[in-house]
Order: sequence, then structure tokens, then C-alpha cells
Amino acid sequence: MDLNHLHLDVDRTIITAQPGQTVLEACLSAQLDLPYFCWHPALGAVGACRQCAVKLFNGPEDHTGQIVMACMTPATSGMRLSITDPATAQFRDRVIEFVLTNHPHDCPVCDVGGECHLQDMTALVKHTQRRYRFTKRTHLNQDLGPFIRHEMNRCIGCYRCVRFYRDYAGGDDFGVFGANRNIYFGRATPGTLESEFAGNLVEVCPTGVFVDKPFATRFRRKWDMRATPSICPHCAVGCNITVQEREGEFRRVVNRHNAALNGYFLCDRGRFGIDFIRSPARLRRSTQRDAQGPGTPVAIPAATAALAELLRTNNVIGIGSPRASLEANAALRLLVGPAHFYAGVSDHDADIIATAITILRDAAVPIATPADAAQSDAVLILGEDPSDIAPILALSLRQSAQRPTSEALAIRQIPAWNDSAARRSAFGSPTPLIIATPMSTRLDDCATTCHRIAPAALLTLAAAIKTQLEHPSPADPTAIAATLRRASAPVIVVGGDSALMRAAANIVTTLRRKGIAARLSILLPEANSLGLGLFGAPPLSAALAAIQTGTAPHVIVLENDLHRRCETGPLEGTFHRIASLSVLDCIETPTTATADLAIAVGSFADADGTTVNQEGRAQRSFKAIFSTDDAPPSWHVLRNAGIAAGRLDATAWATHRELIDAMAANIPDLAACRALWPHTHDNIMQRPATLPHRYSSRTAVNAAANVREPPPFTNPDSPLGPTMEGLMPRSGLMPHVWSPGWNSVQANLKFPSAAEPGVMLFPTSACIPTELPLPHPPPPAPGILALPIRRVFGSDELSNLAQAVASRVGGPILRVNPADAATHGLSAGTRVDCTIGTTTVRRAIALDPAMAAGVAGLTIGVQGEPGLPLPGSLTITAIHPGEPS
Amino acid sequence: MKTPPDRPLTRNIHRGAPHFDIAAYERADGYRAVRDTLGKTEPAAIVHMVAESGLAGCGGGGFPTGRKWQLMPGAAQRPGPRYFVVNADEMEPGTFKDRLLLEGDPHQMIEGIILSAYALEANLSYIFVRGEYVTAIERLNTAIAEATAAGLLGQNILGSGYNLSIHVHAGAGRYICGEETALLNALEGHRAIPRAKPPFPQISGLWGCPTIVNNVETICNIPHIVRYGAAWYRSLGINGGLGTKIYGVSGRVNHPGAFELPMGTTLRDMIEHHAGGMKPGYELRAVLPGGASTGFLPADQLDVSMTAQTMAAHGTRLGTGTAIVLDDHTCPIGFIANLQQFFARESCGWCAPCRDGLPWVERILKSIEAGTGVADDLDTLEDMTGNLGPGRTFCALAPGAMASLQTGLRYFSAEFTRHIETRTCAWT
Repeated sequence: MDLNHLHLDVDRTIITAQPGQTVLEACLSAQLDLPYFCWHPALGAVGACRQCAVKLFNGPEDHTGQIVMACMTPATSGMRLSITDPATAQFRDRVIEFVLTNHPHDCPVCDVGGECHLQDMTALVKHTQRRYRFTKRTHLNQDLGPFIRHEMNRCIGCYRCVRFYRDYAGGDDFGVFGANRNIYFGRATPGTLESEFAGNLVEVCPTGVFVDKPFATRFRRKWDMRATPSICPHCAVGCNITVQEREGEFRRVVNRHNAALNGYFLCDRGRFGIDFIRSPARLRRSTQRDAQGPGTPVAIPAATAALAELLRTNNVIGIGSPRASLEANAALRLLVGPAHFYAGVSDHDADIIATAITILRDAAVPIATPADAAQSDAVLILGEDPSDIAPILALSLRQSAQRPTSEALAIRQIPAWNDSAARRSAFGSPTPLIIATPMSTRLDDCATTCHRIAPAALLTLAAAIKTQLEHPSPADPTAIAATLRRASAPVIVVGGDSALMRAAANIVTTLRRKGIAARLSILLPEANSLGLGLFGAPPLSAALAAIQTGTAPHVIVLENDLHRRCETGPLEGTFHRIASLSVLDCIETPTTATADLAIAVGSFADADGTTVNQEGRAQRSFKAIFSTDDAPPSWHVLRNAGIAAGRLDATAWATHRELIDAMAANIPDLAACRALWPHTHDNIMQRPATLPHRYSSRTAVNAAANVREPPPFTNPDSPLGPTMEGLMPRSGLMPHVWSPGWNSVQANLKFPSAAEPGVMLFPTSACIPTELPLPHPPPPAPGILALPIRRVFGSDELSNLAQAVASRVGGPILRVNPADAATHGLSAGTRVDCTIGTTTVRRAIALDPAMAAGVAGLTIGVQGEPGLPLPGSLTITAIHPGEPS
Repeated sequence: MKTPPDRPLTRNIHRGAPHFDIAAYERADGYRAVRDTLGKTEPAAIVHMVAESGLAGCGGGGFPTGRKWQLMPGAAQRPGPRYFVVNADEMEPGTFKDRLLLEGDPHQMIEGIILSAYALEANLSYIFVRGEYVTAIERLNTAIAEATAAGLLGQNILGSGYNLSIHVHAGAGRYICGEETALLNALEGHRAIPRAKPPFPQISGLWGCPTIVNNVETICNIPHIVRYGAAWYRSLGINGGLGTKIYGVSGRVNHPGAFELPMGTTLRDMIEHHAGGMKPGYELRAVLPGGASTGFLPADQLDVSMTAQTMAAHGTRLGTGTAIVLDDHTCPIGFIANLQQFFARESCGWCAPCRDGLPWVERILKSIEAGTGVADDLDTLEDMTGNLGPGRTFCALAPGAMASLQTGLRYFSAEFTRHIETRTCAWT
């Protein structure tokens, strides 16, 4: 008998369960259909809805048994249970009947009709007859902001929303009000939900109370949309998403479960930011400068030919991008040659990225996934607030901080799944979360200790922690080393400064030497920062220097707005010297506006592409939007230009696979990308189908124009099938997570191996990592030291173009501590002109009492502003006290 | 030693007379048990004595107090804060016994808390009082101040090395706060919803720490058990009962009120003797023996003794021991509908059967009462009594609500049918 498994008798069938599972988890894992509402795999069990009742028999002689809730009953070996017991089945029917007494009969017009967990569970218990003959309770809905529409009458009171929003995500502007059947889930007053994780309510709600608002304006049923696995392009975490489209129009994004990364949740930048692909700011037409000036429309073949013309000059430099795929960057690099390829990032970002590569590849420091972070038993955050840079990582860190210690659970004999009881036992014995940053963070509320330290002192602190770990002394002023030493799997999160990153890596190395399974998490700025970094190309400043010294070259810019990367002076001072500027991009930017040749290429959703996240995880996304006027992927344009220019032979990179092979041959660090979905079946019937089997009106959609069914779109790059013919795989690459009777996102549970793990380019080795030398700290700069503040909404170039996200972007601020503000005669809301380098920008003063003295935080990524040389010395050059804030 | 009282709980309570201040209480032998015990008797010995006495919880559950206490891990085994919480959130309809004790003899309450908290090695105690008990709150606060001034509360009480503080917390008005785990949630500042058990409060109670929650009347027994012993306490009861109980009677009787009587007194003795019998012109039809969440006993079963065991044998519960009398001038369906309206309103909204089932029950009963009931309603109601029963719902609120409905459907079956068939209520 397998001692690692439990054996349970459910209706005379033996099922196996893992120790620590509940009866509900055991039944669902065994593919038994047991209905539930309040339970959620990420939220644990509370026993509120009473839907998962089963009969438990006390030994073989017990023929009566008692009804228990499967979610609140630990699975034990030898247990005898019944799901089919008539009294229990009747009770489950009654629970459905109870929750439906107030539920409207609006399924045909409801936003979640057809993908509703309540519908599924109702069908599961075969409840058909309504006996309740009285009036239903009704509620008024609230305006919850641009992301979520509220339909409270549909509420069945499962409490999942409030448990996610408050308990899991730490939000405090949403709750449950009232009592008895008059409970109300909403805000104290109508208004925008503040949490950047609010969008998850759409998927957490078992019915249609919380509706994806932008999606509702272009609504289609789940079964009428193509679904394609993809990777979120809005930060370096690389959350797994599913992009859904119909008739060539993007419809919505839903979570794609990945146990190591985002689990069941996404942040709102990811969920709603991808709407940028419908933005008016999309570059829809290629344009070329001619005698009339710039902006003359040009077709793609002509644009490609013009690009080929430039390549033939042999005086071309290419500037890549951290928001473009590996494929696009590789294609440009292969065309212009490694010596003429530049990374297109600021010196600061280049330094951060290069240091991350040193830590991951050369020092072999083990990296923490968000899942590792959630499970860690001590966390130290150094330098930057992950909340705005890597929201899902921050959500994971919050889980660690809110989790009771294993000792706290053990002395109370509380299993971890017992959510309310477990949370209560964290009181007084929290898991350590130590934050050492120059300014307050949005994880402070769940931190055990916060240190507000200026960057230079932060570096000293990190070095001191390492020394304390090596030579513990009683005089350990912060006791951080002692806390880390007591942990068994601590996680250090670091970002913002390369020296600090090295010091943090050395802390992990020192802990590893002591046998402690520490891991590091590095915050990087953009979706493919690390992937671009692995090409080893010099930064943008090197490109500008090369232009200054060489003969005026032709410049090809790949999916990059250089104006966001550096100050206007150096850029314009250099670019007037170039022979021509060609830009391939999917959005209109100040860079495309000045281009001699602007080529409209596809967005991440229009092309197959690979990105490398901040863990070094390479992940592939697939062409998700299909229409007749699709813009081509950048690398297709580059390939065709290369062939036309004679740089490539006519058959080069005929397939995506061949481009990946060429990239791998040139960049050994990226060779592992070849393992990502290497097999594309020739027969589309053998590919996973991206259209659901129930996709309707396929032959009628275009009937007004053409009664014949158009041929299916083809995509030789993708292993996915473009039609509804094909496979419905049960693991691996799954466009749809859908199971008979399980039409909602809860069908995830039926496919425990659905997650696409990606490929770790630098897998954790058993060796002790290498210690890294620390650079000498730079001399202190005069004046105020300005640090960049990134914001979930407002600092990301692409998501800012999504209408709903744009409406959430706050005004640009300068965050200072009140004492520093007083010294400069500033008060909250005062508008000031800040000069950094040669650039002056306007900001409103925001006071942060926790801010380290002499340091200021400056929001970055403001639309229309040039890149600022941050961190850097800041001077307040003008005060506008009279202007309203 | 003074002669032990035979009505220990109410010995200091006299109609029309002011309640005892600390001086009067001490003159009446008050705080004697505290002075004799603190620092002199091992805490475990008190727990043992309470267990021996057979004292059972008087808040409605009837769980043996000693056993409850013994389930709390010792301070050596579980270091850290420990709490002793008094459940004074008396909200059961028809029940007013704790109010009598709190207003009538607040120092007895304080003395009970000191001894209980000492036995449980707790240094902090909360009294969670029903918010409407304004007089009780005022008297408790005064009594705490007097006891603190007298060195009976605070640091190093009477030189024993034992510390105790008591805080009075006024509830914000939810019936469910009387459920001990919902009370703890409310005390922590959270919504008053019950907690799943296990873990029981003894293991993970207030803020996750070992906690005992006891009812007012239960705790008021402790000084007397400590002073006069378990055997004395057991000898106070009759008909198989142990100790005394504050029984109560409300309804159309001549002298409604609360009476401390030997545990085991019969219902007939209570109603006909102590409550003075039915008012002229009224006849007794049935009795809810222990508050709104116990089942009916019909008029021909009044000779049963009021103990937990006999009440269970007769298909109902002792509950709080305060009876509500149903007379022949009151429609039983209207009576039950009124109770269900209360329970439906006081459902906390946490679990689906209670939250959505009770309002349905209430609406059916009101519909029947209004003459719009349909024949299927009786099946639906019968079905509800099972599916809102014990184990189905998260806590005992809905099962308690179903007690009067289930027994009512049995004893008043003819009235239910007549309402539906005649489409009217004979009492209106």
C-alpha cells in the first residue's frame, strides 16, 4: 500500500487522496463531480455555502451516517463516504434551491450565461423545479469604476469576493454589509475599486455579480470566441493569460492558470491593459516620407522593399526593444549584425538587466517564482516596491506575510485549508516580511518591519546583513540577519539598483552556504527586459555615440519609442545626423511620428513570440487575433527585407522554428527556447483547436458579403489549429479549459496539469552560488536624490493606451517627506517644476512621512514625457502654489 | 462557615431593594471564596471541583462546564495570552434571567469571573453584554471599579501574585452574538458570524488564543461551588437535576417572571405555582420550555421535570430554562411565524440554508396566516425542518428556529390544515 496516499471509499469506489487534502479536494481530484460555491482552490475552505455536503459513515457497521461538508472534512484513510446518498443529494438540491430564491432568471441576458459556475452546479444537482413563490430581495448596484460592472441581484452570498478582495488581496475599500438575506457585497459608497486586483472578482464570483466592463461593450459568449494561450506583455512577471477574439476583434483577457506564476489571478493592468490593441493609437498604416513630407501611406510590400534598400547600404544600425519578442530582436540583430545591434534601453536599465544576468547565469543564484514567494517563511524586500512593478509577485508576497507560521498552525492543530481559522492563528505570530526601501510601499500594511533608508545606506544595510549572517554578533541593530537565519526558505526581493542587487544576491549565497534554501527575486522593468539583455547588446547611449562618431547610418528601430528611453536633447542632437530613421511598431509614438519609414507591424497578440521574464523563464505566446487585414509580425517584415536585400537566402527562416534555431545558434543562452512547443502538426485536425466546438455562425458571419464559407486562417508558426476542428487536449497546450458540465473558469480544477511551465533558461543548480564583488558606491550627488516611481496604472507604455486603464492613471507626483517639503516651502498638492539632467517636468507634491530624508520619488512613464535620467539629482526650479492640485 | 444558602444565585436579590454595593456584598459573605482561594488553591483543583459539581452551561447549550474547562490546554503547555469571556448577550426571546443576575447582584458576577479566570489561568476577561442592558452595564462598571479599588482586581490580587483585568464590552445588537464564536468575532471587531469548529475556542479562541466563553448564570454558580463544594451544589437539585436554575415564565400567566428553583422542578409547578397559573379566561395550549429555539411541549406534558435529560426525552430542549406559554387566544401559526420572523432577521447571512431558508419559512407561515397558503406549503415546511436541521447549517441558529416549527407542525397540524382550507385565520 502506498503510504503517501490516502484511500477513501466513496460510494463503494476507492479513490486516492494526498495527505492534507479535504474530502472535497479528494473528490474533485478523483474527477468526481461534487458541487461547491464558497470553496476556491486559492482561497481555501470556510464551510459557508453548505453545497458540498456528503454522507460520512462511521465505520463499516454504520448504515445511517451523518451529513458533513466535504470542504471542511479532512480526508483520512479508510474513510467511507457517499455522494449519491438520497438524503444528502436532496440536501444539495435544497441548497441550490435556497441560493436561487433570490437569483434572477436572467441567464439568457446575463454576462456569464454559458460560463457560470452557478448554472453548472444547478445542472449538476439536476435542480429544475422552483417552489419559492414569494418576492425576491433586490439591491441597487454601485458604480465600481472603469473595470467592473456590479449586478448585485445575482449574488448568491458565497463570500468568495470579499474573501479574495480583503483577505487574499489586502483591499479595504470593499466588503460585506448588512445581515441575513439582505447582505450586500460592495463599497461603503459607490466608487472605483482601488485594488489593482479587483478584476479577479470577475472570475472569483461563481455567477455574474462582477462583470468585465470593457468586455461587456463588445460581448460575445464564451463558446463564440477563439481562445489563444498568451503571455501578458505589461511587466516582467510574464503572467499566463488567454486572449479571446471573435471576427478579428479582441474581446477580453482571462486568467490562464500557471501554478508557478500567476496561479488563478491577474492584475488589472494585465487583464484590462491589453485593450491597447484596440486603441486609436495603434499604428494601422505604414507610412513613408516622400517629396510631400512624412506620412504618405505605403503598402507593406513597398515598405519592405524600402527597408531592403536601406539594408543594401551596409550602413545600418538596429535598435531593439524590451517590449518586442525574442524573435523580432533576433531577426533585427541577425540582419544588421551583432556589432550594429543596440538594446534600446537606458544606461540604468541596461545596468540592471546585465546585473540580473550576472546573478542568474554566472553566479547561479536560485530564483524565486511567485509561488516560491507565497510559500516562503521570511521575506526581505530591498530597494523597490514590487506592488507597482510586479503586481502578481506582490500578491504572492502578501500571501506569505498573511500566512500563519507552521508552528502556529501545529499548536492549534489547524489544517492550512481551514482558511478563517488559519488566518486567525497568524495573529501575534506573523510570517516575517521585512521591507527596506527609501519610500513607503503598498505592502507596508502586512509587513512585520519597515525600514525607510536612502539608497546609499540601503547598500550598507544589505552588506551588513551578509556580515551578520557570517559572523553573528549581539549588536545586530535590525535583527534582519537573525530573522533570515531562522527561516528555512526565505526570499529576498530586490530591484532598482545594480549594486543592491549584487548585495542581495550575496545574502542569498551566504544563506545557501548555511544550508538555508534562500531564493532571490529580481524586479525588472519590462516584459522582455531579460530576453533582450541576453543578446548582450550595448544600450541606447552606445548607439547614439556610434552615430556621433561614424558616417551617418540608417537606423532601424524595433517596437521602441526612443523618446521614452532618454532625454530629448541627446536624442535630437544625435538623430539629426542620421541618414534615415525606420521604425517598426504596432503603436503610434513620437518616434514613429518622426520616422522616414514607419511600418505598422502586429502587436504581441498578432504574432507568435517568445519573451523571457524576470525569473529567466522563456514563454511563448501565439497569434491570437485573426482578421483579413492583419499587420505582419516584425520578424516577417525583417525577413522579407533581408531576403530582398540579399542578406538572407530566399528560404531563410521559412518557419518560426528556423528563426528560433538561428537565434539559438547565435545566442547559446537562448538555446533552451527551442524546447518551447517544437512540434507543429502538419494536419490542423491534429492541433489543439482554438475555436470551441460549439462556436456558432461560422458560415454566417460573413454571409452579408459572401455566402461561401471563407477558408480558415492559416498560421504555420503556431502549433495551434485555427478552426473548431482539432483536438481538445487535456494537458499541455490547452486553448480552452472546458470540461463536460464545467463551463466556467472552475473547469481549471479538472486539468491539474494544464499549466504551461515555460522553459527556465537558468535552472536552479544544487551548487552553492558564487559571491559577487560589490562596486564602490558612487559619491553622493548634490541636491535631492530623485528615484523613479513606477505605477501599476500609468508607467507602462502599452497598457496606458487602453481606455479603461488610462482612466485610472493618477496625476504625476513628486513624493517627498514632510520635513524636506517644509525646507523647500512645499505643501501637499503644490505644483513644482523639477529639473533632472537637462529635462524639466511638472509634478504635484505628495507627502510621504515615511520617506527617507533627502530622497524624492518621481512618477515615471508619463505619456508624452521624455525618459528621465533616474536615479539622479533633482532641482526644484519653480513652484506654482496657486495652481489647483 | 455560614449556613449554605438554598437559593445561592439570588440570595442577595430582593424585589424593591437596591442591589448590593461591594460593602453590602462582602457583609453577605461575598468575595469570601476569592479570599479563601487565590494563591491558596491550585487552579486545577477548582477546575476539578467544577467538573465534580456537574454544573452545566446555562446559556442554552447545556454543555458540562467542567469538561469545557478541561479542554483548555494548561498555561505551561500553551504559553501566551489566555482569555475568559462572559457571554452576557442575552437575546433569546422570552429569556431575561441573566439580566436579573447582572442588575441584581453584579458583584456575584465579578466574583465568579475572578474565580473562573483564576482557575483557567487567564489574566484578561471580557464581559460581552447585550447593548440594551444599559443598567447592567452601568452596574458592572461600578462593581469593577469598586472591586479594583478593594484590590480584588488588577495586579497581584490580595497578594496572591495573580493579575486580572475585566473589560465590559457592549454588543451592537445581533442575536448571533450569543453564539460563542460569533461573539468572539464581534469582540475582535469582525462581523458577527460563527466560526467553524474545530478549532474550539479553548484551543483557538479570541485572537487565536485559548479562550473560555461561559454564560452569566453559569459563572454566578462558581463562587458558591468553590465556597460550599461540589456535593452541596449537587444536593440542591431535585428529580435528577443538579444545583439550582433560574427558570422563567412569560406569556398570559398571572405572575410572569424569573424564579430560582431546584434544577428538576416540573413545568407544572413553575407555571401553576410560581407563575400563579394562567390568567382568567385563558387556557394553556403548549409551552416552549426553554426560549424561542426549543420545541413545544403540549398541555398534557406539563408534569415533566425541567432538566436537560427529561426535556430531550420529550423531544425538546431545556434551553435557557425560561418558558414561553402559548394560550388558546393566540394563533399558533401566528406565534410560530413571529418566531421565524425573528430568526430570519437575526440570521447572520453566512450560510446559505439559514440565510435563504428561514425567510422562505417566514413567508410561507405568514402566507398561511393571511389565508393565502397552499397545500404544498406543509410539505415544504416539513422538508425545511429537516434540511435546516443540525449538521446541515453552519451553526445552531436555524436548527433552533426549526424546533418550534417541527413540533408545531406535529401538535398544531389541524390548525395548519384549517388555515389553508378555510383560507383564513380563526383568531383574527
